[in-house]
Amino acid sequence: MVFARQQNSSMPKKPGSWYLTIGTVLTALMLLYIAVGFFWTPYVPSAMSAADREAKPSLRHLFGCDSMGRDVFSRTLEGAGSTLSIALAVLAAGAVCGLAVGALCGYYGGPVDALVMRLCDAIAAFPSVLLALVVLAVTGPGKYNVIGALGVLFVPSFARLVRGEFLKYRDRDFVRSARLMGVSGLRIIFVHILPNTWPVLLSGLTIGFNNAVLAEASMSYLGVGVTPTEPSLGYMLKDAQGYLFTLPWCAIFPAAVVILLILGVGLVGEGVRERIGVAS
Amino acid sequence: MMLSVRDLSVVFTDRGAPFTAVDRFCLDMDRGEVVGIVGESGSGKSMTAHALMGLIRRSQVTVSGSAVFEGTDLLSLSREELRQYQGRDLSIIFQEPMTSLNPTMRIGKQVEESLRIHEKLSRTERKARALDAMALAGLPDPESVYPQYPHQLSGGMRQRVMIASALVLRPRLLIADEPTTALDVTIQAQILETLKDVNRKEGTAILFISHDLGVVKALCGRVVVMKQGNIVESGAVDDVFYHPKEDYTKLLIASRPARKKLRGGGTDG
Amino acid sequence: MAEPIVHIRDLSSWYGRGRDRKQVLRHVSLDLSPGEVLGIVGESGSGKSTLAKCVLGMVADVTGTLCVNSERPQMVFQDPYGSLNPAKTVGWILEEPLRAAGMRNRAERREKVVRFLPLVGLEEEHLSRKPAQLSGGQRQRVAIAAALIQGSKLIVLDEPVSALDVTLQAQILRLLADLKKELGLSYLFISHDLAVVYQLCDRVAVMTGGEIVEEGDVDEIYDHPRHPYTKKLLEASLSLD
Repeated sequence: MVFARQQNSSMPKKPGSWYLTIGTVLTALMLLYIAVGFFWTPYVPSAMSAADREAKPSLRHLFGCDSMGRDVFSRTLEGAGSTLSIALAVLAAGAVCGLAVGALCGYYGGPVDALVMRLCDAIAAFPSVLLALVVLAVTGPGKYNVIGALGVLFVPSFARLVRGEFLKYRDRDFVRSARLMGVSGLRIIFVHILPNTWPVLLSGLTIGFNNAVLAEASMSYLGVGVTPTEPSLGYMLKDAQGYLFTLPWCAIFPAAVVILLILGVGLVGEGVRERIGVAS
Repeated sequence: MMLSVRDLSVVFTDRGAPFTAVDRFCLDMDRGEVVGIVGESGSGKSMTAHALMGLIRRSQVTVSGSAVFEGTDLLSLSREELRQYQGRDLSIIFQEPMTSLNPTMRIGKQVEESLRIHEKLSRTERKARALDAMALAGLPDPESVYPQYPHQLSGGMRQRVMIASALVLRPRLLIADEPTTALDVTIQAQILETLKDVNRKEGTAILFISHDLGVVKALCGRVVVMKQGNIVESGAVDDVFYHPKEDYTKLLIASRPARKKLRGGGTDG
Repeated sequence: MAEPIVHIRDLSSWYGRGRDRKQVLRHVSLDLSPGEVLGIVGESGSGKSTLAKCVLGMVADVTGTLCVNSERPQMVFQDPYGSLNPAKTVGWILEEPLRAAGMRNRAERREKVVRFLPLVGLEEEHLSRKPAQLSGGQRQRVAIAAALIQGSKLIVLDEPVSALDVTLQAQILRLLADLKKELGLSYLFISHDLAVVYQLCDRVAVMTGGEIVEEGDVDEIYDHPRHPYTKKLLEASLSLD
């Protein structure tokens, strides 16, 4: 008892705390970057300038210009915005559906659970990019189709994660005791169990966010993402591919934006998870 | 004196203010003696045993004092030197026989494990020694248990396997850390009988850690009562339990469920 | 004699399905009168916990007669670390049974909880804490309060003190005895510990292998055990005397 009290009185400083700090700062900077891109870009992102074709990074063009003379800095500003919004939409769609499916299956179990989980296995068994390509081949490219296709693909992994947590908690004594008191099933799921699962959900969400950013970029890279008129980080990378050695800045800067965005969110997730892991 | 512990302290410094889990613990044990340490959770009883076995050597834990075992101070030994003693001269059994055994290893191999480390023996010699130890630990028909896996045995049998592997090198001191707490009472009674047998036949000294005064009374000659890292009282079991001097010991004894009735209302008892 | 609050005749129960289906209760019969404490004693695998779950309606695969004349019987679990929701505060945990019972007014719920606290030896300051910030004894007090606050008259106690230190055991047993008298409760007390059972119970049923092998007044059973298993259990329980 003395020992337990001692542990509570002084919270130890874990590595999670600096993950969280760095991650928060990095994420805030990236969000600021994207927010700026919504309102202001130094040049019109799609404007081509013959004079500046293949310009190296300089004060005039911070990240240089591509083969058509478009300002890379302006394009990453706007591209990061559209990549982020698509990634968040995909994540939201996947997480909400996955949460509902996983929670209901995990808590109630039974034949429906078995069926749904086999369905998830089936979806997860296909390479996700390939599956998204098939869906987009049918529906045609475009922002909303990409969100829909990727969102569906994100459901199984969330459902599995949430289901695992609910399986863990559904036979805990506190859940049994709630059942004995006459608490309804849905209330047990969302009010009693869900708050306990959120450290795991959170790390799932950050990993999911990163996957969504990468998936959006790959879709655009493969030419089935957003329509070519909208800039996207994936498209920029695809365009840069042909000039990797002559115009390296066209690839390096969009890639760096993707990496920093993912890194920041990943660190926040890791930091929060560790902090909560210590507290509980 | 086989074991002489002086001013053993265990201080944790890994969280904020230093926390003293064991404070200047002293104990003398003769060969073949059975001594109990009783206390509630947080009393430091297990920590004491683990410190003696060298199980809490970590950077953020300070273990100070001395524990002279047969002329050697265990606390001043290096990890490597201590390993020579662990298992051979002193061994320990834990509360949870489920988690202390490797689920993928045959029982016989697990019992032999410390023989393989400490002694050079042929396979048949090793097996003979293992079977001896298993018989000593009260496993009925050791030959048939030898090739089995832990999940095929009951909790009581698993604890006997743990005892067998602790005894296979004939240690002079066996530290038992709540070895019967996870077991049913009838099984507990049998395990206690087995430990008594081991003590009588082999002359193995036993340091028995428990929260249960009844168990300590059944097994031990002497007892040390601990509370929050300190020794409250120590002496012969009969003296301490029948004529306790300290209030805490009296409280512990009075708290034990006895044949008295609680009728509610707060007046009786 | 008053109508029993629990009436069980010839109750059998199974666990698992198909080839793995194992019988865990064999023709169990017992009665619990209002205001009585019945101890169910047995070792692991004796079926005592299954019997408790049957009374609470938590077991599906049963045959026989089972009548429970109490609204929403509640259970106090062995491990207070597991029986309280770690994500919630004590106040929330104690209000939840009232919420489930349809008490919508927040102030009313709060008031009832606050009035209940002294009964179980808790203070108002505990309400804002989470279970992890309480000691084992306090946690078990919260669990007891949560089980009683709906006003249930039948409480199943599943090894309620086995996970606690002896000094706390004594306090919690005393609390249970007081609450029983004050609120007119009936307990079904599941335990492996004969000495604990003796302190609190009027009658005791000894179980092994899914059967009740002996049942009767505690003093009678303790002084004149008839069944060999009861004798063995009594011999194995260690006392200081």
